[in-house]
Amino acid sequence: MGMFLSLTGSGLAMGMIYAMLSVGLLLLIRAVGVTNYAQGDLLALGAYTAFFLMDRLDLSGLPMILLMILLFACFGAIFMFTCYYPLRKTKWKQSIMVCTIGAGMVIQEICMIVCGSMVKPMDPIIPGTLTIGTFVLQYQYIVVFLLSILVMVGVYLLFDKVYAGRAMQAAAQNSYAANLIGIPAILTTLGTYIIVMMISGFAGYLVAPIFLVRTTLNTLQSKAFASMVLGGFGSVPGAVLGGLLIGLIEAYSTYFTTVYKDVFVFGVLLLTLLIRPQGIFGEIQLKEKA
Amino acid sequence: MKQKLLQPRTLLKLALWVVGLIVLLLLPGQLNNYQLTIVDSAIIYFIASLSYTVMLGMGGMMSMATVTFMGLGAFFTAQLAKNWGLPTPLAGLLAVLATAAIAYILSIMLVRLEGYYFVFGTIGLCNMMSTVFQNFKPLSNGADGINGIPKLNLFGFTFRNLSDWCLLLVVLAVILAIGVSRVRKSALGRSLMSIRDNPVTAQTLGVNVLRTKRIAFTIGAFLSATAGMLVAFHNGVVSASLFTFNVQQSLLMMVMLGGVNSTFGALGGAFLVQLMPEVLRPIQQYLRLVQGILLILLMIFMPMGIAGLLQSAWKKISKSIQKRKGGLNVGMQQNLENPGG
Amino acid sequence: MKKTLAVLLVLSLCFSLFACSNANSQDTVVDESYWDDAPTMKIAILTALTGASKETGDRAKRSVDYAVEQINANGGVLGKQLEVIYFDIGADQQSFINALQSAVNTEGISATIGYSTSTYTVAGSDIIRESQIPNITMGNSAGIFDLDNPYIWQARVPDKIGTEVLAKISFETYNVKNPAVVWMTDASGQSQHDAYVAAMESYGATIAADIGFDRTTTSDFNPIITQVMDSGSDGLALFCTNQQDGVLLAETVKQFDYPHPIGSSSGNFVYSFLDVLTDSAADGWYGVSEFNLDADIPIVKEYLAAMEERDTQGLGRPGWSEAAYYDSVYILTEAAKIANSTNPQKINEAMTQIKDIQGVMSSYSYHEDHSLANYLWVAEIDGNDIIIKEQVYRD
Repeated sequence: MGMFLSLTGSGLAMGMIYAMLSVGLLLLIRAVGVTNYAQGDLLALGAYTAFFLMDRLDLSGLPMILLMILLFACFGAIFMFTCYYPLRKTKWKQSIMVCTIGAGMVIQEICMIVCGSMVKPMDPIIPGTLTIGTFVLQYQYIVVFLLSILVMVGVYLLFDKVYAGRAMQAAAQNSYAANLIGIPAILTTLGTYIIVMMISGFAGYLVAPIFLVRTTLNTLQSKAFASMVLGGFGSVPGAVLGGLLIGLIEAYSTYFTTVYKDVFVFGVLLLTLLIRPQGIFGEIQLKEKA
Repeated sequence: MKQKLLQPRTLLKLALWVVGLIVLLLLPGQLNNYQLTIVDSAIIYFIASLSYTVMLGMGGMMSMATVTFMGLGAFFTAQLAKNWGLPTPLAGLLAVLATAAIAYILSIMLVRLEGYYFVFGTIGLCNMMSTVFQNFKPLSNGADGINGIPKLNLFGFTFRNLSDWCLLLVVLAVILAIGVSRVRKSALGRSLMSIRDNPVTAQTLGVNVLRTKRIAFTIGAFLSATAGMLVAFHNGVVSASLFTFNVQQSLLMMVMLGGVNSTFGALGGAFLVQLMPEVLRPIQQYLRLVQGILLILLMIFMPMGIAGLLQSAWKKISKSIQKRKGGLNVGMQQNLENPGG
Repeated sequence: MKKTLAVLLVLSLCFSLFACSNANSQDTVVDESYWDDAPTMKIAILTALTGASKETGDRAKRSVDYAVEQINANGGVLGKQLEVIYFDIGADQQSFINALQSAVNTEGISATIGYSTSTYTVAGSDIIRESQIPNITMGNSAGIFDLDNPYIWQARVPDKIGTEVLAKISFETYNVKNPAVVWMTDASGQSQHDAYVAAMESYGATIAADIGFDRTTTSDFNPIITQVMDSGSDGLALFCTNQQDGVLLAETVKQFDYPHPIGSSSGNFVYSFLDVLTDSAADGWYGVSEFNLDADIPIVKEYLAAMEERDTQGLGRPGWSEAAYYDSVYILTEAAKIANSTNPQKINEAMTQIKDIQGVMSSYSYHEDHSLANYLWVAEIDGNDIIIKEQVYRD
């Protein structure tokens, strides 16, 4: 029983990380039609930024968080202006995709040049482990889970309730019409990129104490793709549910196999595409931007 | 009138063909093993990227599972040639056909998916098979990979030297590329391109969208599997690390750098990617950084890749020649504007 | 037609570019006088200068550059200066092969050193054999020995021997009769796992849990350690690298507070690993260490002092990998002296005459299986320190 609960706990926490990544992916696809292959690298960038602020500049607490958010906003803007803005009118969406691959490589190398190539630890927000009998879970996992839910709720409210968010949605669905109404596409796109960077970066900051600060954090990205498909395009709740399910499936699959857990996870992805391509929550048929 | 205008051009073309062929036949003997490795692997990657030309350039289907079929082609070849003891050409052929068959079966499920869903399905497939390659002993011998693959023995001639391979690869590449060109000009190719541009219209015109896509997918897998087979015979060793998602991204880079719309474009892209470590040797510590930046810049300024650049350069040159000759032949003008092939 | 033409032009251009640059092939260099007249002795170092394993390359550079400086300050090799050329092995097997080809086809290369991934060495075996240039690799998995390649040499003690020592101390010293084995599924992990299981079973032990993991895709070790806790084992054997998989594994094991003795592969007895762990997560681990930093040997002390002085990137204390790179440079120059030539084939022959060269990591002699290191150390981890207990010579 303890084992089952432990797996559930770590599965849920990992699931929220996948959820954050897939929400970021989702936002970029919806708003600008861009598949971002550097999503995992944005997460790693978040981890390195937090490490840099805490270790190199010796900051902590509120000033660190504020500076981190500010840096994320800058990175988001830079990312948009290099990989999207010059290419926004191109006929070949693949060129933006390849651009993001290039951006990913640049991010990895710059992180290693600035912070060193070694794998680094980071202090957890709450150190220690929760142990109740055979149930063992690091406190950081619980922190990850709770804080991610907060962030996700915030994002959902932003897009559904707040005007700025609805404006971004409008621009995503029809930028010409949105422009006519007076919603400037460029600002909404910029807003979207900044939000995506903040979510991914924050996820990186949360995950670093558990998984260390390293460029290979970007391998978490593939599961994010799977989460997005499972949960269904077009909705933040869908991406979150998809993420949680993938996290749990990954954790429970270790009952059967530790080596082939990826086969399980991606097998689920393929199965979803076979049976119900629009995912669990998906209603909106996502059209590729022509 | 047309004859007169074409004659000097034909002579020029002929001369260039002859020079090109002589260069291609003589040079491999002059290059050392390292240079040959670069050339050989560039050509092999080019053959794999032909699958992109068919699926993406013509069909608008972006598949991220090219390395999966390469891997299957490579591992099947290795198993059949080494462990089952089949004669090498037979092993290679069977491996490629088996992979194409598997691809056809998978395509039944995959081509029903639209746009992004298709991409994600192939990403899922790629990652899944990557783990299988890394761990499933009966297929790939796990992490160690399969070594000691017998050398390719075609009609009694064993391909041992890298320079022999170079010639074989060039010939194969040209044959396959011409094949792809033919497909582009055929009915299948036209149906495919109509699906890419507007599937609904294509359907109303009687094109069986799903079937055409399945065929395109299978052809793409066939090309990737051939590349995989060549890797097995050429390198003599295959392991899972040759067929990961990172390599897939590399392949995509080569295609985009070369130009996704051009049959031979990816060859330039492959050469570029393979050559970069050598050319940038002085700053090799910053190689990846430079590669990334270069990639971003190239995508911004040259989205149609090298081939696109050459095309627009050629157009400009031809137009200026036209202007100097005075008067425009309508037929020639149309010829120039045709972006296909 | 136009496109084909354009492409043929591009191809010809590429070929010509190639032919013009670096035209000398290694086949032209057969004359002994070439080697005698060459002003320097060249060694190629294959390591990761970019990408995820960049740290390995940075460390190797630190050691190798120091070795080269020392050797040259002491008069060089056979009156010539030693020159070292670095080749980046890239991110995958194909780029390793390209780098290897580039190295062995560079004019005047007498020997190559590198890399540590056993799978790559196996893949490059034919190239090394054909080039007839000796290669010292840092990998030590069983697969490399099966190749029977006369030009491949291994700096370290073979995996099998080290792991058998680990099994022996597990059974005899730590009383482990029913271990759980957690191992990475790549070549090195596989060979260590097989050797350990075989040895333990020959002592009459039973394996409580046998859990493999893919180190490239596993970040979360909670499920694995949960299973270990559940398995009723009385000891744990970990076969992983000292990179992120080892660190994550260590942290997770610590979280679960595993109550029985924990043995680990030799690769983890290195400070770059221990310094990264939080809360002394590897405290109490036992195993076999290849490098003794506390050894009372002058060359070791000198080396450690120099490494500290040259630490511009915060790499910390060196480990067996860098020590092995350092020693390999010396081994090759010694072989050149024995052969009285920098001709690669002669150096390869001279390698069979290496006897008891005292290096930093170990002393080196010729062994029939082409591995070179002579001894290991039984060790334990106390807090964040490696405590060496006894020296074990291989037979």
